[in-house]
Amino acid sequence: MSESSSGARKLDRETLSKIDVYLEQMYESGKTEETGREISSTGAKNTQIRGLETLVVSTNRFSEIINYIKNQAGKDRKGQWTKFGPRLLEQLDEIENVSRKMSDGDPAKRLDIKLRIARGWIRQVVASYLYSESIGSH
Amino acid sequence: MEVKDILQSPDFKVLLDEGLRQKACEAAEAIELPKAISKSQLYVIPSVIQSSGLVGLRALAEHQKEKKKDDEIKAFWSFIDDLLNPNPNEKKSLCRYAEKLLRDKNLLKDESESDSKQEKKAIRKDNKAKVDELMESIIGVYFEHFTCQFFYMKKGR
Repeated sequence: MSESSSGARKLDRETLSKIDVYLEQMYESGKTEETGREISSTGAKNTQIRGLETLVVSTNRFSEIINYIKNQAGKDRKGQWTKFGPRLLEQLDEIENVSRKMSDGDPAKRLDIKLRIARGWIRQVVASYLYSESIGSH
Repeated sequence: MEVKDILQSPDFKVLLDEGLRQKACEAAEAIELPKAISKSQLYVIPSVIQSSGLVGLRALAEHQKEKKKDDEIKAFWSFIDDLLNPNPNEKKSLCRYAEKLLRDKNLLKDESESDSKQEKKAIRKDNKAKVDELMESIIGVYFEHFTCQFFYMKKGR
């Protein structure tokens, strides 16, 4: 793993490839598709989901994503985040466990891996959510 | 090695992201959900940390536990106070956790190694300053984890 001029660490090719494979498997398992559909079924607004996506893409700390979801579920009075929040947290937990295995005991690498996977994950969830919204599948 | 070296290490980032989260969630889960604790009681924590840091939060917890009339609110703030101070009876104490982190890195001196009372006092003072320095750097993220877990536990209520 090398360091770019911006200070951001670059993951090696092998790890990047493992991440891609994992994201493909995640997509094929239908988990993210189901999550997007569930979010849509609760009537959650586009702006809420885009808000989560923006955070996932921009944050440098994985736990900020977890805390955002917990916070939204905590203040939810419409039965939206309380319904799909636990599923999101469960998937993030899975991402964290997989990252631990992929990082070969390197803590800094682990942080980079889980953020990268989380970004791929949210793109899948949002795509499924938007598709469900467009066809009105709920 | 100094405390500031720890704060700049990759291990510290992992600590903020994982170890500290686990610690904060355990602490939040240890509280019996008090009905009287409103979200506004919790919202005040990050703003106090931002404006006056560890000293401000310690003062707030001390004040709230003494002045509030409601027993549940008193108990809540007493718990927060215990987290922030080296209370030997509170296993979840953040202060104890910070102390352990520094001890594991051999950054704290052992006062039993000295025979002089004055020296022991100086060691205690020096150790406390180091623990406070570390705590100052982690309380913001710690209480972010703590309050989010607390909100999550209260979801739908």
